[in-house]
Parts: sequence; C-alpha cells; structure tokens
Amino acid sequence: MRWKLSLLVVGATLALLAPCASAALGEGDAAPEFEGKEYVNTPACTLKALRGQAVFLEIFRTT
Amino acid sequence: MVHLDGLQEKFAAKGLKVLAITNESRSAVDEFVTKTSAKHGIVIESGDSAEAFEVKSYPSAFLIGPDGRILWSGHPGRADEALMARAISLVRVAPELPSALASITPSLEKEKWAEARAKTQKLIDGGTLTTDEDKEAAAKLVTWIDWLAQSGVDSAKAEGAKGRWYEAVALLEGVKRDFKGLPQALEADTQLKAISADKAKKDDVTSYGKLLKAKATQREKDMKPKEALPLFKSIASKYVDTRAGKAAAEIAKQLEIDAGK
Repeated sequence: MRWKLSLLVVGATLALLAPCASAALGEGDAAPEFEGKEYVNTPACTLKALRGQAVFLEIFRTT
Repeated sequence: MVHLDGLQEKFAAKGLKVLAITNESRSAVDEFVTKTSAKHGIVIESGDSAEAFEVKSYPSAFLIGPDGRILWSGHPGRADEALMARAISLVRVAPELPSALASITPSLEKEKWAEARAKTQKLIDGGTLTTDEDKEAAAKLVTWIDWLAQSGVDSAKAEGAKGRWYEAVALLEGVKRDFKGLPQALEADTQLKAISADKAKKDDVTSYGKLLKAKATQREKDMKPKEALPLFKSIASKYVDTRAGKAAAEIAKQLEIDAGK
C-alpha cells in the first residue's frame, strides 16, 4: 500500500513540475470552441460568447 | 476542483470565467458535484475538447485570453495568482450601457456586432446623446466592437503563421459573418480568398476538416478499429504532405495494431 502511495505522490509531483506536458495546444494557439449540451452551476455559454473575458478551462474526468 | 472554486471566488468579479468541461454523462457529473460540492461552472459537451485541445492527461487546464487565444496551458495545480493577474490585466469586457443606449442591447445579446456598432455610431452622429457619460459609453462600445473584430483577424493571422490554415479559416469566416460591413470583415474576406487560391493552404483546410469529421464519426458511431481504419487511410493517402495526412497515417497505424489484437 505504501509503495502505491509513493508512486502516486511521485506521479503527482512530476505532473506539477512538467510545464505543458499534459497539453499539446499552448501559448498563442486559438482555443478550439466547445459544443456544450448541458450546463451545471453556469448559464449556457461558448468561448465565442466569452470573448473579452479571460477563461480558465479545465478538461477533466470524474473518474 | 476545490482549486477552481477558489479561482472563481477570487477572480470572477474581475473578469475571469472558470469552467470545467467533460463529455461524461450528466449522472456522473451530478454525482461528482454532490461529492465535491463544486460551485464553479461545469460544461457537459457533445464533442471532445480533450481531443481538440490535444490533451494527453487529465486534468489539463488552459487559460484563455480575452482574444480567444491560449495564454497558458498545463496542470491546473500550477496555475497561480500571478498568472490570473496577467490574464485579468488583459480583460476587455463590453462597457455597461446607460439607458440612452438601451436600444443597442438586443443587438449585443444576439451577438450582432456590426448592427450594434452601426446603431451606436448613428446615435453618436445624430447628436442624440446629451450627457458626457452617454457619449463616453457609446465611444467605448464602438472601440470594443472594433477590438473584437480586429482580435479575430489577428488570431487568424497567428494561426496562419503556424500553418494552421483550417483554424485560420474558421476565425476569418467568423469575422466575415459577425462583423459584416466593417473593414475587418472585408479584410477577412480578402484573406479567405487568398487562402483558397493557395493549393497547400487549401489542402490543409480541406484535409484537416476531413480529419476532424472522421474523428467525430468514429466517436459518435463508436466504431471498432477495423471499421474506422478506412476513414483515416483515405485521408492519409490523399493528403500525404499535410499535417492532417500525417496525423491520419499515425491514427491508421494505431488502428491496424488495435484491429490485429
């Protein structure tokens, strides 16, 4: 169990230390538009409609 | 995700929109929200942003500037306050409109930017705006719409400079449509014609569109590797020297391996 925990800690640390390692699109690239079908805690929106604002977009999985 | 709530709480009022996005089921997201008490916005998408943003692992985050271009990307845990402050310093939201400009609001809500600009300019030129506040708000709105149009053209140029002509065309078509009648729309039209007249650029646009369509078909129909293989092989053979052709060849190679398993 302890070794599994250590691996997790090392993995998480590496992920935090590696800039942009988790994503190929980077600084200066146009952000691709998304097609939302349902929205939780927010009104319906698109990146286009949010132009003028800054957007922090996290792509995630619940599992 | 607690991190996202913190960002939202601290920076939303300053012009930062915090969103998490997934294409998982509504029930999975509801369960997740109940479990984590997440308060930030979550988008359940029909497409696949992970693929569009070329994400290699979860979670991945992108800080997108007011012009629609990425300012930073990486693990969300690395996004610090200095980064947010930088993004917020660039925010350019539309000015709040006084009652004298209330007639512009419907056009803005429908994102009819050129129409909104024309109406505003008419009010300015017609001398119907009497107070300094009204005149200032009208001038700010015109400037903001011009910036919005120009940022689309500039983003398209930046995409073109990277050889991403499909993305450039999408942006230019948006400017041409949304800002019809403005100089930026004419510039967008000129650039679209130039791209269309250049075979290599046109091939990038066509092939990349086909690649995205093939990926969407594979995803939507939940195709097995053997079924999806012809979709990518045809792009790879027809557009050998394009980025889409090369990507399709890589996908086909992997599908052949998966089909043999």
